[in-house]
Amino acid sequence: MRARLPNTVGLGWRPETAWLIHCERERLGFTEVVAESVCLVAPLAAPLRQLIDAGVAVVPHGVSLSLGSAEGIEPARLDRLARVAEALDAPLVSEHIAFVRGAGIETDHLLPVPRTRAMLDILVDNVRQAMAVLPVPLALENIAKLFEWPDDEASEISEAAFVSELLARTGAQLLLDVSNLHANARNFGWDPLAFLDQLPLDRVAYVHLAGGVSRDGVYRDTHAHPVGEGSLTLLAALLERVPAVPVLLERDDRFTSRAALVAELDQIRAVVDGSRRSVGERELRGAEWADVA
Amino acid sequence: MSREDRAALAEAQAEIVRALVADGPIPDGFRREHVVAGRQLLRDKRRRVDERRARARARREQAQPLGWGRRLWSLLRSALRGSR
Repeated sequence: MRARLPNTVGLGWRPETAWLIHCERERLGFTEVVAESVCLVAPLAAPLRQLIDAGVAVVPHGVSLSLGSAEGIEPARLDRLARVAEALDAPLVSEHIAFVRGAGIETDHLLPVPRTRAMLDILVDNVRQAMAVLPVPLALENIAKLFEWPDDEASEISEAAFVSELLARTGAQLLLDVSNLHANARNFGWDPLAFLDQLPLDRVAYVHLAGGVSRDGVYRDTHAHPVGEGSLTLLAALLERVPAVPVLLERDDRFTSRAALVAELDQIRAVVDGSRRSVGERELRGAEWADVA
Repeated sequence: MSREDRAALAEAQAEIVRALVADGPIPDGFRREHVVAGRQLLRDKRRRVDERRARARARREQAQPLGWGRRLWSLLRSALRGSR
């Protein structure tokens, strides 16, 4: 069963977006905060407390659990993530299908895991361990890959099959990052629609959207630029397959003006509303045909 | 999965981390242009994170109440201004 988030277009919580989220809280319905930025040694920051008290769902989004680490996950980080979920009264927690450290070095970036059976087994172990400690459901996010592993092309498991099996074996939900999918399609020649069609879309807890930029022939998911046409088109394609799904805009840097951010949210809402309308019309037409028959 | 398989995978992950973050050798089979672009991206990201942390630190310091020494100086300065 999917964790309950409203089917709205939310915005990621950052100090720079806090005021906008406060003002638009009813329309946004939910937000997401980087779990590692939540302070647990003092009372919860007032802006977050006010949102929770106003009924806005706040999802802690982990970036350092390193579920894809062959070395395993660090219990202290997992315990902390669980405590953050409790402090935020969160309906679910999200993390990534990735690893972030190795050889004792923190990369501060989400790195792709090799698409092998051995890796899948390790991921399943780590995710199960996390789910046993977390007080709420866990959603796993597909990342934008910096590189592919040497064996990926020859792997008998497709990327979508890898994710699907991970979800099936663990019972975790999916945080589907449409912009990460767009980035991988651009950089590695994936077919994004085939990827969508192979995923268990009934397990999508919510969707991420973010902007990026092309540099030296490589598309980078920067979270610092407006969401581009490619991501919005993919969002529309997803919404044709699952019309009712929460969507969240991530913005981490280059905050221009409040008006620009509001306009970007409106643009995403227009795509969401347009897709829902066209699905509704199609269903209506189907019903009319059924009546005729 | 065996302990050896897990250790081999952990070492493979460590090698690519060293290649990206510590300019270590690029492991066999990885595309050089991906790793080089990855190094640059990680460097840029680290710089942006440092800048953001500096901004947050400055914001916190601004928001903090004054210590007793600065408060006394502030009161004295206001009093002196008032007496003019």
